[in-house]
Amino acid sequence: MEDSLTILWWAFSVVSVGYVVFLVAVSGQQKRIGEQIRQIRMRLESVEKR
Amino acid sequence: MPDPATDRESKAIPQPLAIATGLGLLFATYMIFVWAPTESTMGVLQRIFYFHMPSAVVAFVAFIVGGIAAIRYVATRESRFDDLSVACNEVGLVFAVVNLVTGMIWGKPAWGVYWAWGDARLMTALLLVLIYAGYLILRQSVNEPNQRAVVCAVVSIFGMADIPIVYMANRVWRTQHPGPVIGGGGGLDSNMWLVLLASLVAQLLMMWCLVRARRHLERLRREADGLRREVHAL
Repeated sequence: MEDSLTILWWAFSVVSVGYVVFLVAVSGQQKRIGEQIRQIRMRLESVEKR
Repeated sequence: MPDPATDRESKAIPQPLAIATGLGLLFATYMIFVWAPTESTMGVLQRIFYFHMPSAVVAFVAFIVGGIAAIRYVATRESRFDDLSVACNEVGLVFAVVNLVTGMIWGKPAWGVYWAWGDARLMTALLLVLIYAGYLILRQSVNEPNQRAVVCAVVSIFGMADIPIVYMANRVWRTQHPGPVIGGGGGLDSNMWLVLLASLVAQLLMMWCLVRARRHLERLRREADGLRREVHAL
């Protein structure tokens, strides 16, 4: 019975880790590219001002 | 003035959807661990089914939406369909891998082995995962955006064609994998159906959140590429 519960928790962990890893990876990439966009815009603005 | 990129980032997953998904997952977890009746033959181990089966259905839904978006892209050449297609296919792959791994976790105590190489359902599901893993590798290897979108759309449509084969595998070939529950006359207690439904709804909501987040990332990438081209043109 206890063994089965441990196995069930393993399955639950796999599902949770799958979601969390994906979300963290995507939000990390979003932040990185958001920052790149901000920097490129600043560069464009400075070129236009000149 | 708020930065448009950051402003849109906050809208990638709307708050009501995030709250509904969180509550849905909590409710489904409670149903699986506490409320679900214990099956007489498999005991507690059978509850893995409530993670395993909905993740397969959600992966199918994601791949089908991704395939339809790919067809729309080929027909219209509108980049929003390519964004949706890649988001759905990548999220579908996450759910398909979860499906395979939870099946293996169940398989070891039930069958004595993690994987049965001769099982048609297992092998067709593995093939599906490999097709979409190939899709993602292909996406990284083609640089020209339009060419990449067309080639990936073709693979996405091809991958979608494998779904009926996976679905029918344990109907056509009698193998080690348990018989079908939906549309196959498999007997499930009405309380078990409720738990299955709760888990399915929660996982579908999770899929929706992940697809929205991933599609938003694709839009940001496209915007960054456009701005880079502008800088190079100056």
